Amino acid sequence: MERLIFLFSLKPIVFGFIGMIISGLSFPLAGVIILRNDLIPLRYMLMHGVILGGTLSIAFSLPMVPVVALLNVILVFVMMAIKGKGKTLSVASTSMMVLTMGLASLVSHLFDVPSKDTLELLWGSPFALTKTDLFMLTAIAATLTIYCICSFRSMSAIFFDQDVASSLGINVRLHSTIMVLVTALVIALSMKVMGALLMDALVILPVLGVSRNSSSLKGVFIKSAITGLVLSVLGYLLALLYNLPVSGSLSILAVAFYVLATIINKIKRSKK
Amino acid sequence: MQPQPAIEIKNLTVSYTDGKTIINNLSLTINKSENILISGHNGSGKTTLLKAILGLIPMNSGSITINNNRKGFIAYCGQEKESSSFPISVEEVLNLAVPGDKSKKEIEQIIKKATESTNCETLIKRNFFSLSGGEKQRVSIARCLCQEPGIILLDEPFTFLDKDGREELKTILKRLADSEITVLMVTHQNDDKDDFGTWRNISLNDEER
Repeated sequence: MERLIFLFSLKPIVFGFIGMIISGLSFPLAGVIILRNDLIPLRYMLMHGVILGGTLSIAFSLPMVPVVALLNVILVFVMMAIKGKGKTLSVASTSMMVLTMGLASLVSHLFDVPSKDTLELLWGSPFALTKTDLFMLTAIAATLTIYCICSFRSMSAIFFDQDVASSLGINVRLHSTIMVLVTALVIALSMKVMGALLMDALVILPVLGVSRNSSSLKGVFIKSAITGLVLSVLGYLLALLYNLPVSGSLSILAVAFYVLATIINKIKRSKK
Repeated sequence: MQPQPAIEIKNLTVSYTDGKTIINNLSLTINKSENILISGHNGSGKTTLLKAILGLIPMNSGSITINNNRKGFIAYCGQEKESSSFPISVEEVLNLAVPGDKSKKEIEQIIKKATESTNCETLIKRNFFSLSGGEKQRVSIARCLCQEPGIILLDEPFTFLDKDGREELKTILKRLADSEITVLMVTHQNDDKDDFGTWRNISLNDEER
């Protein structure tokens, strides 16, 4: 306990904690969008976008988070344009992955960017969050939450059936673009907080676990956000107490939650 | 009294992107409160016609005029889709169809009326994707009714239903046919025609047109 009190007197620890609360509460909402809209290929493309963004920001001494966020938004528009030409999401995202990695490699070579620095982006750290990062994190979390609340009816209709949504007069294309853009920004920021390789722990796993034991979409949104918050706070505190990497402790907790949710679901099914 | 047209289709031609014509120069007038059974073999353009009426697919030529441009005036009950592991409750499915300008009390009343007329009051809290085929179709028709539509388009609602499910759905559809709503139902099963003898039958098979 004394250790925790001491640690919380340090600014990076407090900033990290605030970042984990904000992302824990809001990022699973993006997970619902990613999983329900089958945006997993897009999510991988955006991870590559983060590497290119990170390389560019190191090469030109620019602030990393805004560069990465802007680049991901541009990538989404380019990918949507490719998809609009009749290509599948997988084809569009794969071609963008190759392009981003090629560009990252070129920029690294031309501007002597150490690959180790770029790859560290994949691990991320909540302790490295700055005031600007926290501001951006809050802004995107608020945007995502407000969008989910205000557009719940439209989102439900699109998730349920796009043809039905269109027949109800919902602008499916507009909402799909907004959902993809917000997801892109969440992915860009969550990599800074937790790292790309372990981002699934907070964005995807809580949603997967919760959706197995819910019967409504609203329930999935609310329970995923609560689960994300609990997991991120617990994972952070465990990491501080036992001197572990945050992403590691959070991932283990998220996997444990997912396994538990699966077992509960199986028990429920066997009782029916 | 002169019947009022609900949908006017003039010289409609729709082709796939590969150039194959799926609907060729179709003209059709459907009057208000009329019930239509659209039949045809696979690939004859039944679903394409419904989607063209909804404005979901581009037309090569011709025109489709709907005599009311209110959002949600046409309700669509598509073919049964694959189940999703993602839950959405029946209540949410019905809620999303209710016109946005309604008060909470009005929404409750609309949903109650729709579920009563389709025998799905007891399903309201269930996950839509955990329902049986027959239950899903009843909920889908309830969803259409929640839209307070003037026209309902039904795309092969009997597919995957067992005998009991089919009978129950037929009763609901006959009840629907007695209302003021214009109903267009697509089917490729000939035995359905006998159960809807009073409905106007339109075949999209070239040899029968």
